[in-house]
Amino acid sequence: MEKHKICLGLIVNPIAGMGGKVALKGTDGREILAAARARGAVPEAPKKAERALKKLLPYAENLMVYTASGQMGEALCKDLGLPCESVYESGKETTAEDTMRAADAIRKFPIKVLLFAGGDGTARNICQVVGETVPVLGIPAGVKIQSAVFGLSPEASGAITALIARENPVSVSSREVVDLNEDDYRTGHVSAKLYGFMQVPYEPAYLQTMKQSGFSSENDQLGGIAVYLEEKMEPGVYYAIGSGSTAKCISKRLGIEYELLGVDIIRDKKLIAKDVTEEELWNYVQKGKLRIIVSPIGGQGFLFGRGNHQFSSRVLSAVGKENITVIAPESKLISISNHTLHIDCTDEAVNNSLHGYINILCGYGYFHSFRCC
Amino acid sequence: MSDPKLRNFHEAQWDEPIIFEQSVPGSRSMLIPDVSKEAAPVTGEVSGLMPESLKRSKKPALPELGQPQVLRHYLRLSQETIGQDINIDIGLGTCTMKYSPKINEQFVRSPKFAEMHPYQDDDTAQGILKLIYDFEQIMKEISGLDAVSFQAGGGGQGIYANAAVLKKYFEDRGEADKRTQIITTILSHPLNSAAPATKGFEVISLYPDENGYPSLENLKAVVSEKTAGIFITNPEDTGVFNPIIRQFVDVVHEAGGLCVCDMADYNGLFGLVRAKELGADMCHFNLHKAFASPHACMGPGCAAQCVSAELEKYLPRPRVRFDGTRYYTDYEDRDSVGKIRQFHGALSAVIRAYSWVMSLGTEGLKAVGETAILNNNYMMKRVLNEVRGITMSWAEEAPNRLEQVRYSFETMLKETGVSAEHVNRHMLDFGFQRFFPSHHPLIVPEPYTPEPTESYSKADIDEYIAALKKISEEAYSTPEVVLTAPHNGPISVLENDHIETVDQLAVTWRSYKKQHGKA
Repeated sequence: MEKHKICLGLIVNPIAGMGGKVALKGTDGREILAAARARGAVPEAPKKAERALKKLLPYAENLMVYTASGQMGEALCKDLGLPCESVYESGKETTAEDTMRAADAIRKFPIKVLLFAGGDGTARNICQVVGETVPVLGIPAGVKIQSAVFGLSPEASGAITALIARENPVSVSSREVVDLNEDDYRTGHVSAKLYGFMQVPYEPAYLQTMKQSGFSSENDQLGGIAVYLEEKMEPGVYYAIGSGSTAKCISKRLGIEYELLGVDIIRDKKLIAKDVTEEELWNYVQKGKLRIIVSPIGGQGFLFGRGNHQFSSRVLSAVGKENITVIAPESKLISISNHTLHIDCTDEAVNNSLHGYINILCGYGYFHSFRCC
Repeated sequence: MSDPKLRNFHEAQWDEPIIFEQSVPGSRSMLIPDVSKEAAPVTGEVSGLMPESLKRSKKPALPELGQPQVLRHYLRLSQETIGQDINIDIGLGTCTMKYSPKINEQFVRSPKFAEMHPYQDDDTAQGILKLIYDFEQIMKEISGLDAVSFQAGGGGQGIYANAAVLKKYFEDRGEADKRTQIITTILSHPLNSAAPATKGFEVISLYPDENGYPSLENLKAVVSEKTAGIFITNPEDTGVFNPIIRQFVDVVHEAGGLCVCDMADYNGLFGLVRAKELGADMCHFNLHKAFASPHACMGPGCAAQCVSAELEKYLPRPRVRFDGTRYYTDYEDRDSVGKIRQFHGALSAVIRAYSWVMSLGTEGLKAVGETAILNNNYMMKRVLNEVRGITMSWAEEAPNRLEQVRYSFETMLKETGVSAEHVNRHMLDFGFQRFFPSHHPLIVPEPYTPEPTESYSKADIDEYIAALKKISEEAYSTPEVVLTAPHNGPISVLENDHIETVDQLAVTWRSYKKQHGKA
């Protein structure tokens, strides 16, 4: 009887990362790609994908990799001797459209994880198609790596996938996909948007320690956060719930509808408005007392100014630091470099008013004190 | 200098069934003659002495085996473990794995102690009561505090007992509703958060700054009129001693809070630092760690809970008192937090610790601390210089450490794909027990926390480092060897072993049968 095979998905975005070495801050768009090539850029992503895939070679005979044609994965698998099947035929010049179509074709197979080599742009395209339907793990190969869906290095991404290839238990967690606006970025302005969430395998060592310490899971922590928030909710006060699955834990707890990527308004444990604009939020600030419940972006630690522009300077200034509740499970907190939150509003005075230390709620009545600057 | 030769260790594999599965109905270890008829005229109707509610309706479902089968079963299981006495147990940092002198076993296994009953009249137990009393005086001297209880059955329970005392203190002052927050540090042992939380406190954890310990500025930012106290481990598991601890304590005291020191990492401080001088109102020591009583599955835990004179009345009951001629058990508990567990606590651990301290004396205890520090710093210098892919946080700011270090394999993971967990599994192939990565949360990525206590010789440490070097070399040359370890164990990697899947855990034979449809 033929041994049961572990199925993986693979998408290599061959042009990802080409802008980086020639100082173009990304490779989104045909004109930029042409400029990158003119400056002597060569494909980076296949090399990085190769470094990751080498970790799978000891288990090659038990694997089946579903991928896209040519440079999008098939060529690399064949070079390395990984059993593969191309399920999407790309054009000679690959585009974002190819990434999305390939992802759509691959996800129809029983894959344990979809591995992709690229940057935030690639992550965004894949997220658009697969969302949270299959586990996805990024091999860091792009210029912009802000999303919390990548391994620490190509080798680390390969090592986690190797665990899956060996059928070891690996948990997954919902992580943010964000992307900077490259046009703004090139002109020195940083603006980012939260595009959605993908299910990402945890790091093995982290998992192991969870087991040893009997540490509570991310879901347990979110449950504790939500119960605590509900207990502390005051009647008649507006609560502006920020974007992302962490912040929405309170909406889930209360059993009310929510917009995952937007800001919702709750009062007396009922939904008042969904997905409000900055203008609408400002109106609520003026109507009565308003508190903000928000969660930072994993990895980079931005609290305001990235992906949640509804919380504008005037809103934050009127609400004040004492009425902002920051929440996050511990796994997200430890991913934030230097244990420091950042705020990037247009008004420097508002930024300064929020600086100092912020107690982040990460379980029932349990806070981590983070520096904010 | 060449490295010592590494062992090619291979764990035993007996494929031993559970003892219940080996049961043969009717088998017996001992056949005792039935003398009930002959005894009846003397004893009368014995079963009538027992209340009906306590009588079993059916016999206990114990396995039935002969003596040789029982002995063989447990000897085989003992060969499938890798315990403290059989390996160089440096890896299990924060656990202070040290040699537990075997003569102490003679004391605790002596019938003079082992056959005692806690309900014995005090007049027939003067020896053990004197020992408890005398050891309390010793622990008062070691901590600098004024009263000690040995009732807590482990470090976590010791911290809980201190949290209970703290809560009672504020209840008596009528401030319990106002003092609702406890401050701790993220690198303090997790029970410093969990124990106060179980007493209903909110908990705020501080992170280390660039120096490896939290800043005074951060502490001042979170201290308020709600602060009931600070629970702090010093040194933390990084081996970094917080040099501004006294200022920390002063800030909390000025706000009206109490200071509780976790002395579980005390091994490097013997003879050098006391809780009193740190400003602590309470602390606890683990007799089953630094005081050489074995721990985990090898022996019962016992925490020495030490408090200031002001807090003595809140200690768990009973206490042992001396009236000048006689030792006696004092159950009076008007102000006490009550019982943390039964009777006087795990007295076998108290006896071992007493024996260990008395055999060392004051100078010997100081030598323990100094040797532990020396061993750790020798190992640290070699590891950082000779093992590729391993780093230490705050290496420049705190280049010397006390009794242990929290290292990181993050560089190795980035460069080779080999994680701390892979290294950990491969250590087994050289005859070393799994190492301790870190308490949660992992603010040091890919962590590794060894603790070479005073029990280990230079040769022991060198052998341990040789294994680390070998694994590092393999990670950079043939990573698949490390990624697929262990190679010499009876099983490779345990699958589906998530402890979170509690519904799949079977910790008794009855639950095992239930889960497998055999009940």
